[in-house]
Amino acid sequence: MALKPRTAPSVVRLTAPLRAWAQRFSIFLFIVASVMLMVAGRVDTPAADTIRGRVIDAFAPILEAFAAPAATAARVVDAVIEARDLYGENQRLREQNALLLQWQQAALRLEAENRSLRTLLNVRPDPAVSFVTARVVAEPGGAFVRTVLVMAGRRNGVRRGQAAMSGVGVVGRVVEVGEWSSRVLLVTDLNARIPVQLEEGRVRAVLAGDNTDRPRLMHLASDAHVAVGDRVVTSGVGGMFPAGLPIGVVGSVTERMIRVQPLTDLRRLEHVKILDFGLPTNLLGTSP
Amino acid sequence: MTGGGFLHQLDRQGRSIAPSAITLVFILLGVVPVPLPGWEAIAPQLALASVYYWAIHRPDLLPPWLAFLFGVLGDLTSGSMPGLTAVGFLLVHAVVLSQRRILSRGNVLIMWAAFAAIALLVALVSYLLVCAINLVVLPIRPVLLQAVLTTAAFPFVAAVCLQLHRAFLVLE
Repeated sequence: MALKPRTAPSVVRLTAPLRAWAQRFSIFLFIVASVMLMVAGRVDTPAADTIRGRVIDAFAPILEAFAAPAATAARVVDAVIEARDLYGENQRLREQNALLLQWQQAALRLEAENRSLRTLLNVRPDPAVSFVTARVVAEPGGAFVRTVLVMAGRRNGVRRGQAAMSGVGVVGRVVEVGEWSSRVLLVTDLNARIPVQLEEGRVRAVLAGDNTDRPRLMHLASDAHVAVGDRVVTSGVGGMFPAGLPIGVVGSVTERMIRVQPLTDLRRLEHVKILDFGLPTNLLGTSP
Repeated sequence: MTGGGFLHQLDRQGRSIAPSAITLVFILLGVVPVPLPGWEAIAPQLALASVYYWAIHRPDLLPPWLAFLFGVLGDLTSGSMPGLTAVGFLLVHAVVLSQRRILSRGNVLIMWAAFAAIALLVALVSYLLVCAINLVVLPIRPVLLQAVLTTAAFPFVAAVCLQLHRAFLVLE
């Protein structure tokens, strides 16, 4: 009877460090598992794709509910700023409008000329383009990834590899597809590589994101002449994107690096168009 | 009698998921688009603060394995490398476990200061992991800025968690 009070604390004294040790060990094991998951995540497997699709499907509706008030708040702020700058903006738009009317005339003339030349040459037209417009519902925080989650998925005809555009230019490529939501990898992301060419001179290159706002031009011929302001469009090489979609303009040229300013402000995307070019989907590595 | 016992059980279970629920909400809040220039690169990791709070006060309700699960879920939602956020959450648990005696005293300033150190540690470890696995050198400025903003957001997250803690978990 006298022994009991003595043994009980000693057991506690023994188990407490043991439990702490076990807890520490389990945390360590989970950290190792996480790092292994990170490494394994680099490899694309169909199972991982399915899981990713399910997860974004599950959260997209909730995120959509969150995104709506955030967008409203942003619009209110924008409206105030716009009201302040109304006069100058009006002036600027008038000038731009005059300029654009001239361009419209030029475009109409060129279109007519192009049409007649095509009939002469018997060119096979590119397959018709269809698109779905989707709302951006999530824009993950973090310094390591540039993607957006959009509310359109397999049911809306979205497939992996399709191009995502804003009104003016390419913003990225679909990398994960769920039933009603999908993820677009922006051109600025670390893992984005898009075959492009400079409109001037048809010089080919690869547009490579590095998580900064302005992706780099890589694999450019060493004798290529590049100037600030040159337009960068997709080259269609590799069959991922059709040729000629505008992406951006050359923003800066230095000895070591050429950076491209995307046409779209990728930091405030509200809607994107996902384009279906009727490309053979089996080439893009997807099966319905 | 048994009915009352069952309801009591249900009530307890319901209350005990509060830490998980609020952490999940913070994970989702973290990816809501905020149309501020450059925001998404430095958006505070609210969920990190939530995991920290519960790791100090109720580690039994948000144990390491659940933190791991939430981390992976967060990564799948945000499209970043699966496991990256999980490493952060687990580092929080590791540090809290080693400094529990100091942290559980309840001094808010000490908690905040310790969290600043943890946020910095998590930022640096994540940065090194991403650079090593992708074989690139990324700009470190956004990573450090994010740690600063995460630290700044701590009082807000802690206040929310404290309210939940008082409302649902004190009576037990």
